[in-house]
Amino acid sequence: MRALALAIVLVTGCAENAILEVELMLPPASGAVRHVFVQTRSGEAEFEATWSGSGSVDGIVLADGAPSRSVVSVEADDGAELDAPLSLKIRYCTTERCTEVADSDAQEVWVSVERAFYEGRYTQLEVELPAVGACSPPCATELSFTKCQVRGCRAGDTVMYCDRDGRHFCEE
Amino acid sequence: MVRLAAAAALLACLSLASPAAAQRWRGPGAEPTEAELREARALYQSGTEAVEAHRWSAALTSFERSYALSGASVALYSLAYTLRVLGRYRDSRDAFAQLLDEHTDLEPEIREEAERLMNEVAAQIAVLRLAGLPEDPPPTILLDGAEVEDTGERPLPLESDPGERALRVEASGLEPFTWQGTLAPGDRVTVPVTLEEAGEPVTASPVFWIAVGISVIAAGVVVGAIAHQNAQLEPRTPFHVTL
Repeated sequence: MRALALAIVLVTGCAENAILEVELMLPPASGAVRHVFVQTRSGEAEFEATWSGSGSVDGIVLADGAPSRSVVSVEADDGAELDAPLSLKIRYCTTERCTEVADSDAQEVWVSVERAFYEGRYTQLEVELPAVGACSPPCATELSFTKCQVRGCRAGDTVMYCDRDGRHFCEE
Repeated sequence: MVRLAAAAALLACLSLASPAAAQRWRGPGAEPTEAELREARALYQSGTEAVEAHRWSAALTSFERSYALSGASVALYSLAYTLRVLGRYRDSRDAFAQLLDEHTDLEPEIREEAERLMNEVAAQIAVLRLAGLPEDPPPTILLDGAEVEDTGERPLPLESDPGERALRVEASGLEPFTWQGTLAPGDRVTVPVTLEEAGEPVTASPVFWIAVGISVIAAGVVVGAIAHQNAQLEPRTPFHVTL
């Protein structure tokens, strides 16, 4: 029975992953630019470099003539990812995965989050994206968020999600 | 001579083991009152009418109650006769035997007829002879689920009415023995009872407990894995990316 209890303890327990729900406030489509392609990286990423491989979301479509919103769940399930900063590269493209030649110089938004994840917690971050053509491509808009701007672990609206000691509410 | 034969048959029959002691029908404990006699007569009349209508079970009940109130031989005779029709040969024989034994004032013709019928139904009774029964400790014998007295006689004769019968013999430390079969009227069947040593209970084997332990642990791991899976946060939006 001890073995059984041990086995259960080993494999159960609280959730070990964490999810950041990024609420993208999308600008209206403009010209040929009708899609947003989101790439993610754990840690302080090199935004100038080309990001390849997994960790991307496609299929987000910009609405015609009006802003819209879309929410992307970014999941971290590794201990190192939980503590590390999060980087998002958001590209405005003519195709879902930015595969057209015209997308090689796409307008980009570089998002840096000091800390986004807390084990077993859902957190939220609202990102207001600039309008299509806010800068002349190739160009990028840099947005940075502190961990205290990441919503979570506290009901209601508040500007900061950290206590006086700078500890995020999800760290308590 | 006929009476002697009947008595001998009766003694022989009573010496056989049976699921219950020889059936005896009880008459009134004291001299019946006039009211009881009136009721007994009415019951007897009711039983006779039931016989004419071939409602044998109802007739049996009426005759039993009539005899219990009156102790009249005619009621016991009718009772025995009805049991015979119902195929309850052992009870019928016992009722006729009781009639001959307790009612010595029977008319000769009635007595002679009762003896004839008693011998007739006794011949219908089947007998199982149980061979190989252990004597010590005495086994538990069940015929059609009813426990049978073990007189110690070997082979043990066991009376039964004809029909399908189920036998079970149990003895401490031995595997139970079971037998099923159909007995024809007057059958004499020897059943060799074999009681084998009971194997070690499976729960006494360490292998059993090891297997149980492995199964329980495996089940626990599976349950735990499912619980673990369920414990993980699930994305709540259509767009989802894992780092």
